[in-house]
Amino acid sequence: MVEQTAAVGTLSQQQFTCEAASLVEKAKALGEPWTLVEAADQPAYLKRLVSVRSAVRPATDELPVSDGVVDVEEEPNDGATLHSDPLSEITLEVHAIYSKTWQCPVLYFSAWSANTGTPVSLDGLKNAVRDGLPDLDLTARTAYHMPFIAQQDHPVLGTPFYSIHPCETAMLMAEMLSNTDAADGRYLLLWLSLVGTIFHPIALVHSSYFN
Amino acid sequence: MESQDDTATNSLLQFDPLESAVDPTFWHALSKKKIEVYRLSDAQQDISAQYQVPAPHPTRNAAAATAAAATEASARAPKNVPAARLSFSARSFDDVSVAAATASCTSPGVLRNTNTIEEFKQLDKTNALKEVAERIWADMNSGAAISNPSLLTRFLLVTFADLKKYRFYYWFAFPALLPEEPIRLSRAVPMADVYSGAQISALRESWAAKGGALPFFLLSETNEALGVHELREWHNVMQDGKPVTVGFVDPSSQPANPGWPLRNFLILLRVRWGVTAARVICFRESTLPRDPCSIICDVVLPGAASPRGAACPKAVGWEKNSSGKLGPRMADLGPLMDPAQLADTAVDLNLKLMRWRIMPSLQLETITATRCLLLGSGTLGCYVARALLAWGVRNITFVDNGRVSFSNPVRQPLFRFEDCLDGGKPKAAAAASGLKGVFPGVNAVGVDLNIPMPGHAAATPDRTCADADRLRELIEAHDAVFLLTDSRESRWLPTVIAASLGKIVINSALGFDTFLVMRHGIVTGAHEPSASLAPVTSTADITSLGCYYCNDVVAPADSLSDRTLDQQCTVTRPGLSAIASATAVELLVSILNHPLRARAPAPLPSASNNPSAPTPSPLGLVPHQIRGFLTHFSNLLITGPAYDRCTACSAVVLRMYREEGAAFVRRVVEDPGVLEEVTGLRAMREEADAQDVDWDVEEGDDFEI
Ligand SMILES: [Zn+2]
Repeated sequence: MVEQTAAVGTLSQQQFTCEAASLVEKAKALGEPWTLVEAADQPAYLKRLVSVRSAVRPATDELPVSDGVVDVEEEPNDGATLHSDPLSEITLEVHAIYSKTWQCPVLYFSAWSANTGTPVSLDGLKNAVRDGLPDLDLTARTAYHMPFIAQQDHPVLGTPFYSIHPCETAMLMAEMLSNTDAADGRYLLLWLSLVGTIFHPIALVHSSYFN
Repeated sequence: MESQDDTATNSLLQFDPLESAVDPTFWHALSKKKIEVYRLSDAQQDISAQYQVPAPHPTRNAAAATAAAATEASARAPKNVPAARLSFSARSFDDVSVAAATASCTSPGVLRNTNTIEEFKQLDKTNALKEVAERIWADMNSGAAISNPSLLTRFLLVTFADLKKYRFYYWFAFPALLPEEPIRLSRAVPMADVYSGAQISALRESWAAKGGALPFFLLSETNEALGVHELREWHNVMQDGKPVTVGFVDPSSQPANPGWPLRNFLILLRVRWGVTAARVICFRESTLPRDPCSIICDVVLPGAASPRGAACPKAVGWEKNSSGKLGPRMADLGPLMDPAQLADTAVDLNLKLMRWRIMPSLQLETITATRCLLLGSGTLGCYVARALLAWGVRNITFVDNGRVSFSNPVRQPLFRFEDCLDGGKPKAAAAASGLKGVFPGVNAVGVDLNIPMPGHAAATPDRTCADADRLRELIEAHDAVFLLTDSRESRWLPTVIAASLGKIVINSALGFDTFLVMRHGIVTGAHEPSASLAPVTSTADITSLGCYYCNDVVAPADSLSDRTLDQQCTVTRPGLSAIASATAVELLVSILNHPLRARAPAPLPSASNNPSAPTPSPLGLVPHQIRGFLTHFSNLLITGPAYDRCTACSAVVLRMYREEGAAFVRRVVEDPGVLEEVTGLRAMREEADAQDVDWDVEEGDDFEI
């Protein structure tokens, strides 16, 4: 009995792989860039890049004054170059990786300036999204048992990523699954829409995925 | 719809420039290559990049957008159109043959990594661009660009990787050969205006059937279909006298302009096949079934063609930076690569975790911003600093006048054996450097200073005054003062100064198996006279909490010089210091988290009886004094009022310090009796029998007198 209670809200590796594959299929049909990243000797994980049009100008990518100005010979202007206003964009990279320890998926993410690759901090990301991401420090966060964010090395890539700690995932998912009709085979979708709320108004999966 | 618009015929064809998009993995890979492969070589390296048709975006409707663009008289591009990107990642360093992904085109490129910022600045950019342009020109003339048209998109990247600061300086160029005369645009329309749905579907399928990565291609047309052909099929596909129709994968989203890759393709058409007019399909279709996004540009290529084998035409193509200037860019990968910055973020998030999960009202920012002065850098100082660090405090100043001795490191966790050699390093500086060794993000400073003490005359009166002034400056520059020295009288002057400046004071002292941790009250004007020294039973009786000296009926005096060595080096149970230090830091944090801060009321003695009773503030009680008894493994909370004859915090002492300053300090240092005189203690002592509890037992050898 006890074991069964513990298993509620968790997901097996096999289920994860299976649901991830069908999510990628669905995304392909919807034209959304979810992909399954398969590396040798490593379990596959889900990946998505989101282009965020920054509401604020990111840190300049010009050389700091102290580094001196680099001169270039003026290029001949033949009038054939279209002058467009450069938009500043941030790339948000989101991974869903299965955790054997927690028996559930874990969200990893990072953000960087789309041009230079300069990483964007959590606060930077929050400020860049028009209308703002939810305030991670709000009282409401605790009230709703929102997960917390830590910085960890990516289990496959080995580079630093932000991650959402999975300690409450099973509990939250158990509640969500019991409140959802036709939840079968939709653990991953439901979980993504749940953890994805930290990026609101950016949606990781939208309602069409459930059709 | 097919009618020729004469005014449009005259318009100059403008190309949407490429924008480099570098993802952090590219910089990780470049660092690795630099360290493991390139080392000091600045030889040209082959790399690659990817581009593809633009991703759909919500406002995108080719027909409407083109119409809107046409009505805009200005030559500027419409706003809010995503840039045409050339993408770089770790895969850019892979062999080009394995790098190809479906539905994206691969550009070959040249990387020139310089070894210093000077080399980066001084590299002859004009010549570097010319060299790449010449290769493109040679590939056109040799026919290599016909069998492998991606050679038309060859790019140049100049870099300098500053691996000490994790900064990458770079500049891309996407060389475009200039035509003899500017290329003109007859018209630009959505593809759906010219071709049927069936024809467009056939085009998509035909392109996908060729591998879905053909960057430039020829088109054959029937009423039902458009067919994609490779460039080398030119003579089979193109018929004399028939209009030339070509296509290219267009990364641009501009409604009326083709993307940059078309430039060199048009030059190729002019040079290889003498084309003077062409219909160009700017192919922007995805594999998804969605409305066509491609546009059609009818272009005219006037002027004489450079003969094959002629000198390479001029080229343009340096990328502008985010300010729209021709100049290099800089990527700062410090947050991902610099261990110190990584530690900073990790520690910060770890503290926030406590707030997110346990206590939303936790004043983390206040705690982090609190500047702490640690008087004494011995056992207590070391442990207090560690606990402050764990709470996120970032500004910590150590004061001590001793040197690290061989007995220190095992009890004082910021010191190591090496610190004791050659007579020992100055303690305050060694503690600061030890703390930075734990966490480089901390601003830790060590100050070597003698704290003037009643009854301990310094070498010269001037010395006393200078030290007193220096101490005052230090206390003024901090928000909280920890009294952690090894003698009772060394705490007197900081108590007076901190009281007169209204600073938070946390005081900690050790016995063999007992400890005291207390906060000093904040002095508000003159003290209400307190009639007795008896412990209070109601906090309502207390207008101001006492200081370390409020229970004393004698002035602090030289307690060290007449003692034997073993009295000076009071032995304590080794775990006691960590317990007392941690308690002291937690007391500070409780103060900082209370809305009234140091004026927070102290609990009644009874409040500590039931540890499970609810507390008025989230972090719990803010006691005045905590007395710990290791014999019983228990703590006692005590609340004591300020005493109007206190030798340190009474109104009269503070007034004299305010009025006379360092001169008053000098008088007291020379004769502690002054304090008993001005406070009236001497007169009183003759009547009262002191029932003093002796708490001034100390740890020992930290301060050399
Ligand atoms: Zn006092």
